[in-house]
Order: sequence, then C-alpha cells, then structure tokens
Amino acid sequence: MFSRALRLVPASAVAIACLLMPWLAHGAEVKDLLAVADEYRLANESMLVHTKVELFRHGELQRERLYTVYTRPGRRSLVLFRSPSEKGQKVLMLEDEFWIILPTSQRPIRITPLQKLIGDAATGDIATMTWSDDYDGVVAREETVAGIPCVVLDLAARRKGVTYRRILLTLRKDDSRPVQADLYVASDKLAKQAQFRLERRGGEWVVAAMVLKDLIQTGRETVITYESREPKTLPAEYYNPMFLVRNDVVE
Amino acid sequence: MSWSRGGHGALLLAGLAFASAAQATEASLAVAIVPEFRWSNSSSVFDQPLLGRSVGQDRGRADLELQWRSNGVNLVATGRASVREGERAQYSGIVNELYWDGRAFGQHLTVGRKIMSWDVGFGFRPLDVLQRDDRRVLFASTYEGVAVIAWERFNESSAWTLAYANPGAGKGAGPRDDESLAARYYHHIENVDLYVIGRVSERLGLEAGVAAAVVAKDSLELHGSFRYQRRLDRTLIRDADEQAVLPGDAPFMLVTGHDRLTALAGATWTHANGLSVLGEWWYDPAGYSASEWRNLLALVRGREELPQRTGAPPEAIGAALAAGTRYLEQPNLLRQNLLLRISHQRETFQRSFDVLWTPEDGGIVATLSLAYGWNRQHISTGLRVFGGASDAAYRALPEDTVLFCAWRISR
Repeated sequence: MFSRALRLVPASAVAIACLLMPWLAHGAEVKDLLAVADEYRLANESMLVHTKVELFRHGELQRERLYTVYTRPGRRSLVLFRSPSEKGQKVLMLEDEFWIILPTSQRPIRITPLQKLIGDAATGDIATMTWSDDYDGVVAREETVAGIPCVVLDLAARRKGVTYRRILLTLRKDDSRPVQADLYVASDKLAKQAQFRLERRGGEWVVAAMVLKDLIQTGRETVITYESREPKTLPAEYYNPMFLVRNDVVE
Repeated sequence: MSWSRGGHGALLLAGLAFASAAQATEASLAVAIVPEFRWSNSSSVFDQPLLGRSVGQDRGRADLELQWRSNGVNLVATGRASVREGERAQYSGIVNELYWDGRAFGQHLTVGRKIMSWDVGFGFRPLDVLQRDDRRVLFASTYEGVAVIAWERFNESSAWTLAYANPGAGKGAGPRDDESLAARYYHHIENVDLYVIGRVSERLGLEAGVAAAVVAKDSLELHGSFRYQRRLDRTLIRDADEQAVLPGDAPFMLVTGHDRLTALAGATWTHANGLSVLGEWWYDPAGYSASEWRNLLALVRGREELPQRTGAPPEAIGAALAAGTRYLEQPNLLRQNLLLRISHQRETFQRSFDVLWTPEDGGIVATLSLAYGWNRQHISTGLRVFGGASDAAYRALPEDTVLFCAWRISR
C-alpha cells in the first residue's frame, strides 16, 4: 500500500501543478503589471519627491500641506513636513515600523500603524509610492472606463503596516497606466476612491496627482500633487530613527 | 538660555550662522498669545503671605518664535512679553536652541544649545537625564535646550551618543544646569527600540538606565523605562521634636539618599477612528510620600504656634516655611503617579481628557482640552482642576483651577 502511495506522488504533483499553473501565471502577470504601474509613480528606487496635499470639503479648499519625501529600496521613506504650522515634523517609515518627531520635544516617538493613519492626510498616502512591494493579487475582471479598455486587479496587502488592506486597482490595458483605485481599510470597509491624473513630463507619462475621495466622511476630497521628482539617495544613517533629531545639511 | 545668562558659545554660533547665511536658508516665524485665568484655593494653607506672591492672579504671555536654519546651524529663539493681573508687563528673550549639526573628520558632531530628550515616556521621562523638563505643562512651547558638545555614530539599527553637557559649569543651580558627561546607546532589534543611558555629575553621581518601546499590535504600543541614581538630595521636614531646635535651624533638613530607582511603564492604544488612550504609571523618588506631605501641611497649618513653641522670630519661621514651598514647583509632588489620557482626533480637531491620580494620598489633577488647526493658525483651550482627598497634596495647592486659551499663527 505504501509503495502504491509512492507511485501516486508524481502523478499527484503533476495534477496539482496543472491546477496551480493558471494561478501562478496570473500571480506573475499581476506582479509584472504592478511593477509597470509603479513606474508611473516612482521611476527610481531612491527618489526625492516634493508633494502638495490639498484638503477640500464640498469643493472648497480647507487646508494645504507641503511635504518632502525621500524613498529608498526596502520600503523605507522619510517624510519632512514643510508647511508653516507643521515645520520640523518628520515621519520615518521602515517597512512596517514608524517613528514621528515633533519639533517642540525633539525625540523620536514610536507610533503604531493605526496612529499613522490619523491626521490630515494618511502618511501612507504620501510616503508609499509603490504597490508591487506591498500587495499580491489577481486579475479580477476587465472593464471599460471612460471608453478605455482596462484591467481591474484585486490586491491584498502582504504586510500589516500598509495603509489599505485591500485595493481594487484599475489599470489601462494597453500600458498599465493607473486609472483609479478603490481603497479598503482593515475592517474591509471601502474608505476612499482614488483617481490618478497623469501627464507627460520629460517625454514620459507620470502620475502628476492622485485625487482621494473620502467615502466615510462624505464631501471630503484630498488632492495629492507630486510637484517634482528627482533621483536622490540619502546616506543610510538618515533612515536610523535616532538620526531624526539631527538637522544636518542634506535636506 | 535667557539673554541675561550670557553665552559666548551662542555668539560664536550666531557668527557661524550669519557667515553661512548666503547658503540655502530656511526661516519661519510664529506668534502665540496665551491668556491664563486662575482661581485661588480658599482652603489652601499655602496663602499669599507664605508664598510671597499673589495667588489666583490671571496672567498671559505673548511669544514671538523665530526658527532659522542654514547649513546645519539651527536657531530657535523666543521673545516673550508676560503680564500678571495688576502688574506691569515683563519682557524677556530665550534662545531655545542654537546649535550646529554636522560632520567633521568623518564624525557626526553637535555643538551648541540643543533639546536632548532621551526617554520614551509621555507624562514623565526618567531617562531625560540632560533635559529634565516638566512634561505636563498646559500649553507646551518649545523647550529650552541644554548646552552640549556631542558626538554621534549611526549604523543601520543602532546609534551611539556621547554628550558633554554644560561644559565648565560645575555644580549648577539644578541638575539640568550641572556639568556632566552622558552617553546613550540605541538599538532596534526585532520590533523593539532599546535604549541604555548613563550620566555622571557631581550632584547626582552615577545615573544609569534602560528603556524600551515596542509596537505589540497594529493598535498597541508599550513602553517603559528604569533609572538608577547613586545620590538623591531631598529636603525633608524634621520630626516635631527636632523642630524645637528653632531658631538657628530651619524645620527642613537636606537628606542625601543613595541608590534610588525611578521607573515608568505605559501603553498607548489607538483606534482607526482617531480615538487614542494612553495609560502610564511612574515612580519618582524625588517626590514626597503621603506622610511627608501630611507633615508639611501640618507644619504650615500650625505655623502660628511655632514662634511660641520654638522661641524663633516669626520672620525666620516664615522665611523657612516659604523656602519649603518650592516643593510645590516639582514635576511630581508624590512619588507614585498614574496618568490616563483619552483623546480623539478627526482631521485637525483634537479633544482630550486626562487624569493624573496620586494613589498614595488620593490627589487628582484633571485636564480637559480642545484644539483646532487651519492652514497657519491653531487655537486651543483647556481647563485644569486640582483636587482629590481632603489631605491630598494636589488638593492643598494655592490655586485649584486654571483655564487657558492659546492662539498661534505661523508664517
């Protein structure tokens, strides 16, 4: 009986592999699509991005905030707050761990992923520029958006520290340009809908802005404009939480 | 550092700052107006004659804060106009920070006056061996830094800091003004931030401590710290029998304790809807015990009998007792403290309520505050009430209610 069972192993492996192949192919396809889509937001792994965040309520501008974001491979970001009322604040994101520093006390405070979500704009919306590192998914369907053939990806977070647990991401079918996204929080509640505005800069299509419509607090809209992007690599020590208290020249 | 306290180092750094002004520069200004309304505690034994000042005076201040930075030179300076009810306005200037952060000979160095906060707590910070600020002020403005020469070294997950504080000052007016040598080691391991510190000064001898902060769940952060100090000077009240030695001696005596421990443990829980709860317990051996407070209160209550009992002149007794009231200015009146803070933030509107409870004597300090921010403006208001059991230290304070408002505009 044991030898019969052994004889069945190769056949079973082949059968399982056959069953998994479409899924594996699908997973690889999604990964490729995400990698291409990411390049419209972040062309290089280490970049300096100047970001403007505008908060609207019922179409009226309520507040404007300015941020400087440094990114580095390995899901590392450093966000410097530039608006007059927030100047001196910094947030450091190292994979799923976060620290904030406030100018009045000058000490790095360890914060939880949920604390990161609280405030004017979720820091993750500003600092997280890639999907391929954070999400796995499948092709959910194909559909036409504003007359453009698109593919909809159903993405699930691979890590606990990401801002949104699930994303339904719509990409153009021809070149994977991001079009829109439904963003779900931990309770599987649809929290925001994102629209991506693309424009040509230096001959390349880039995401120039992301418009986030709040579906929980209705009437609220956040426009995140990527004012400039340039390749920039900060020295590694800038990503040490204790370095947050230093104000060296590089910025 | 106020203007009146000199500071040649400050002038040197100012020179450096102006020398580099041609380089990329950032500057910002903020104005804050903070009126405070205070109500006196009619049942307090600490009355106006004893304190040597008016009790229950409304007061206010206007701050103009300048932040300026260029090529690693950083300046935060505050011009302040303060006024008390019925008194003339007073003007002062404070250099909160003036330092240079940069690299020299391949090393990270800091020279100047800089805020050096090293602990992980919120209500109290045992490992703030250099900074030592009161963490529970009603409206927090930028702290005043400490004069340091510091060397730092960083790698991916750890950091070293070696700081020589208040060079040449010897034994200053208080621990934060003392000349001292301090070191901190930071290590991030797994999910834990770990800190080890040490400090040596003439007044306190060796201080050494550890602290840790960890995010246990998406919503839960835990932190704690622990400090040993070789020496601790405390002013205690003599026993009733010993008080009979007046005059020639005060009813207080300086007692030097050894091998004292300070500890803090706390947690922060946050919900996605903006609700946040902070709980902290701490033990500060510099505070009085409940029985020591009872002795002090009994001594002050019976002060009218002291001249007859001791034969000392009333002025000498009054001066001695008034000197003892400096204990009202301590960050922690009691050794054991429990803090619970509940806050809720939605966009830029924040409301919070906190209660500090001193379990040894049943004292309570409750604070309610609201804050709202626009693009450049921020307003906040709060009410703090002191009370608790009838013989609690906080119940005996000369003022029992404080209402504050603050408006701040930044450019």
